[in-house]
Amino acid sequence: MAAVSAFFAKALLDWAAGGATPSTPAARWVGLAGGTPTSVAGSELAAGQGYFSRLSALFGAAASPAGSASITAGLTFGPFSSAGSALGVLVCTSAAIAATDFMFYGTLQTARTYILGDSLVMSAGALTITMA
Amino acid sequence: MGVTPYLQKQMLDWAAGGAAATQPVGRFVQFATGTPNTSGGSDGPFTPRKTVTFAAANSPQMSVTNVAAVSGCTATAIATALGWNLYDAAAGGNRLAFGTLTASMGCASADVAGFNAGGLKLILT
Repeated sequence: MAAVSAFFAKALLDWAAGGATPSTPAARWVGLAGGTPTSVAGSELAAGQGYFSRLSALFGAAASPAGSASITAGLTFGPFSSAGSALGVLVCTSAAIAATDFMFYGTLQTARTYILGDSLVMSAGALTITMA
Repeated sequence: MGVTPYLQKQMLDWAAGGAAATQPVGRFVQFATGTPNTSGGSDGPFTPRKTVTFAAANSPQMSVTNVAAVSGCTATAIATALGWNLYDAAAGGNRLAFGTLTASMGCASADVAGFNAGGLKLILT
């Protein structure tokens, strides 16, 4: 995952350049996208069908000069209550599904199609935000 | 424009919360006679670094520009500026970002270089 949303690019720039005072993210939540996310559209899955909530995520200290930070504990979405597919992932500032507050976005290394009862697991270290 | 590994880490730690991040308390620009990159600034013979004040960032453009002209970077020798570096201190400190000038700027010793308001833009892509 290497891309910053337009929403959060402003926060990062304001924080670094000092032109305004952005709110520090109070928590980080990971969501799934059914389409391909862009800087202005997350394409998050709709609530339901087993996708009931974004999942709280903890990241380790950023690595330098790699310019990356990864989750320190695994995340499990599901089990899903009907079939669907996930193409992307969002790192957000709130738990509310469909809130337009995603900070970072990317596509899954492999798109996932799931059926009833499946879960989607991201292992510790498998979700990495990269700025380099 | 590029972001140095130092600022990448600070931004990521601030955003992802994995460690305490240090927010820059000042921003100072210096001209470079080489092409700055992530590993080196190639600062030129210009003094002093000059403080820069930025406006609020533009969204969704993902950019921010300086709100007032920056001047007074005096060449201490004949030099051609090719780029710039942004630091968090007037001397020493940490390099935050860097970029190249849209056109090289040849200076004689004692020439004064700077940026017009809006002439220095940081873009996060």
